Formats: sequence, C-alpha cells, structure tokens
Amino acid sequence: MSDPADEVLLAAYRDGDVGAFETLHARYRGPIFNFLLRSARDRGRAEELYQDLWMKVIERCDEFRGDAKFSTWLYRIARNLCIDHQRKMRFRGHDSLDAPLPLSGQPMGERVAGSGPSTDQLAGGGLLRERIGRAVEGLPEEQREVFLLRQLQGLAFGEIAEVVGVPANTVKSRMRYALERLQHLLSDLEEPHEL
Amino acid sequence: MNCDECKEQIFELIERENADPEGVRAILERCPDCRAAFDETKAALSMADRLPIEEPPAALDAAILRAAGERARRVVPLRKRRLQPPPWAMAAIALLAVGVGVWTIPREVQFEGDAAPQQIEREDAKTLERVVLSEDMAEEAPQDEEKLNDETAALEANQPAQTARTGVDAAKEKKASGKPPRRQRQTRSSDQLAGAGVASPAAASLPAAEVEAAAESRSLQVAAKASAPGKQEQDDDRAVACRRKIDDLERQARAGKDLDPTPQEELAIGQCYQTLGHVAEARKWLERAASHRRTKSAAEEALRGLGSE
Repeated sequence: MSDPADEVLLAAYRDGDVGAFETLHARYRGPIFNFLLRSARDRGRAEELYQDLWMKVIERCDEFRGDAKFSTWLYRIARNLCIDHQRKMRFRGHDSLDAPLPLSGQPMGERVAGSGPSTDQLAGGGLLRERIGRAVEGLPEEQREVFLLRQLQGLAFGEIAEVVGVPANTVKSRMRYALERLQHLLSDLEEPHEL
Repeated sequence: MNCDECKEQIFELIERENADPEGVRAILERCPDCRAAFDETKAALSMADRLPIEEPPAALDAAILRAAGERARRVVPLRKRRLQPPPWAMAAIALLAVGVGVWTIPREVQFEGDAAPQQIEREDAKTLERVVLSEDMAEEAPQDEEKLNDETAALEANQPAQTARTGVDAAKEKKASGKPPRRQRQTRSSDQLAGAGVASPAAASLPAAEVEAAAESRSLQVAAKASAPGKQEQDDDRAVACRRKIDDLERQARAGKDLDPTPQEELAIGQCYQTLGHVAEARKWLERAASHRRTKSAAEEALRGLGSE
C-alpha cells in the first residue's frame, strides 16, 4: 500500500490528526532544514527559520487549497522566509556572502570554497563535505536555491519553477550554471565518470 | 544538433529529462569537447550528492510537534462546536416551541367542539345576539364606516357560507392586533360574533351618538342575520326583533322625528321589512341602500331575493 500523499496528510491534520502532521514533518524535516541552512549560511539562523517555517505551516494549513503540491507550498514559504531574512541582514549591515570582497573582488563564498588540501586529506578529516557545503553556499542566490531544491528535495524543474516564480527553462539554465560553478570550484576533487 | 545545443542538454541527459537522449549520446561519442563537458557536469553532480546533510535539533522538532498537537486540540473542538447549534439558538427553538404550543392548544380545544360549527352557531344564535347587544353595543363600535360596511356585507341574509368566516376573521383580527381578540377570551359565542362581522375593536373614543348608531345598526343586522332560511327556531326571534325595530321606526316617523338613517341602517330596515313580508317597504329601503356605494352589493342581493319572493 502506497504512502498517503502530502496533501492527504495535511487535510487529515486539518481535521485534527496529529499523526498525519508528524508523518508530513518527518518527510520534509531533513531537506527543508538543509535548504534553510544552505540559504541562511548560519546554523542558528537556520534553526530560527526552521521553527518559523513549521509554525507558519501549522497556522496556515487551513489556507492551503490544494492548487499546488504541498512541497511547492512548503518551499515557497521557506524561500520567502529566506528572502525576508536576507533583507533583514542587509538592513542590519551584514555583508552578503555573495558580495565581492574589497581586495580580491571574489565573493566570500568562493573564497572559502577554494582549492586547499587534497581529496584524501579532506575525506579523512570530514573536510571534503564541509568544502562542498561551502561551495554550495557560495553559489549566487538564484542558482543556489534551484540547486538546493533539486539536490535536496529532488523537485522537478517544473515544480522548482513554481516555487521560484520563473519559467522551467530558466530553472534549467540556473541549474546548469550552478553545476558549472561547482565544478569549477571543486575541480580538484573531480573523478572520471561513465556515460 | 551542434555542440552548443549538445552541451545545453548534457544536464538534462544526466537528469533523464532530455527529449532526445540518443541524439545527445551520439554527439558525446564523437565530440571530445562535448564529452569533457559531460564529465564535468557528472562530476559536479557527484560532488553535489556529497553535500553534507545536517539534522535539525531534536528539541526543535519536539517543540514543533507539540505546537502542532496544541493547534489540533484547539481547532478540532471549535469545528465540532460549529456543527452544533449554539446555546442561544437552542433556547430560541425551545421558546418558539413553547409559543407554538400555547398558540395551538386553545385552537385544538375549539376544534374538538367544532365538529359541526354551523349547528353550534344555530344553537347559539340567541346567545350571540344577547352577547353582542349587551357587550359590544355598550363598549365597542366600528372603527370606521368601512368596517361597518364589511359587517353589513357579512350579514347578507341567506348566505350560510358567510357563517364559516368565524375562525378566519378571528384569526385576521388577532393577526392585525398582535394579540387574541378580547371576545375570544370571553365566550365562544362572542368569538363567533366577531367572525360574523358584528364585533369590532373598542371605540371608547368615538362619539356617543356614533356608537349608539352603530349599536342600533348591529342590532338590526343581527335581527336580519337571524332570518337565514331553514332556521325555523330563529325565525320567530328574528321576526320579533324586526317587528320591534320597525315599530320604533314608525313611531318615530309618526312623532315627526327627522329620520336620517345611515346606508347600513337603510339596508337593515329594508331587510327587516323583507323579513316581515312588507315587500313594497322593503324594496323602498333596499333601493335607498343600493344607491350607496358601500351597501350597494348587499342591498342588490336582498332586492334580488325580494324579486323572487
């Protein structure tokens, strides 16, 4: 028997089934937290956003009319929270990781993801994952969000297009640019692949 | 497909969303540059798969689930309550039920005794007359001539169907006044009188002469009403009442009093002469009554009856 759809679970929760919400939460907690983490680039902020996100889901579940998939609705809320957070950061005078550094002209994200220790060294110390994570965080915002939605949640390009509000072809282009950039940043880690 | 188009579709090929995967593969097999682009993209995706996945704090998840549970407990009772009628609505329904009960009980009692309303009316005819003359004439008068005309019309002789108006008229009166007619609370006979058009709201504010005239008119009307065919037991009473009235009228005429009867009185006098068999006098008074708009139909009806006699 197949698992109930997200929309069915949300409807059940609206009718008072807390277990349905727990199932829904379990499905999305990991991907959505990492999306927020890579978007906010700060664990403390990501935790705040994570809590805010689920509170909004709880409060607004009656507003979900089923016009879109639950995942689309959820990530749209998450994306809006991230945009609000970044606006606040800019208002408070925090530098963006996307902003070029004064001396090198290179964004901070690219700088921290630059080449360093060898693959073996990185893998041994767990630094490889950290470096990949930094490289992703260093992507331009519009590429990063597409990359994260695709990699973390496995959303189709059409659904990503709905979340970010651009055509599907634009989403594909952004994804391609994101991969090219990552490949460039992490070229020293690459391995040969078959067709 | 050229190399540029091929490179654009490498990612879609890897993600299995390419519309022409065989075409792209064919180019990749013969073009080293396209093959290199494919390898780079594949490597980037492979590295992206190693993106560290972090877990949200368990305490945070627990707090979220607690909030979700609280919301469910808060909302569900509200929804259940929405399905139930509110207490004030229940109270209103109960009050309405009591009101309807109070309204229907007396009517049901009346219907139980009303197995043969016309028969009862016949039996109570004398009582009706007495009650009307004693109560209504002393206390009440028609509100206006229009009302009086209605009463006269209701009393058109030999119209048994008119007697069935009792309940309807009483209900209308009650509806108009917003409370039961006073006589309905007093006696059943007076209630029937109200239905016969004899009763009217109290007219204490009307001039005494007008009240007296109305009372006299009513007495004549009752006397005429009592002349319904087939009511042999009432005929004598009706004839006596008419005789008494006609005697008074003729006495006043002989005394030289200036008679100026109202159209309703003219109609009633004509009907009395008709009852007593004085066709010529009856015709004279009824024709006078027929010359007035308000009594025209009743008088003409009586004249038709006169013609056949």
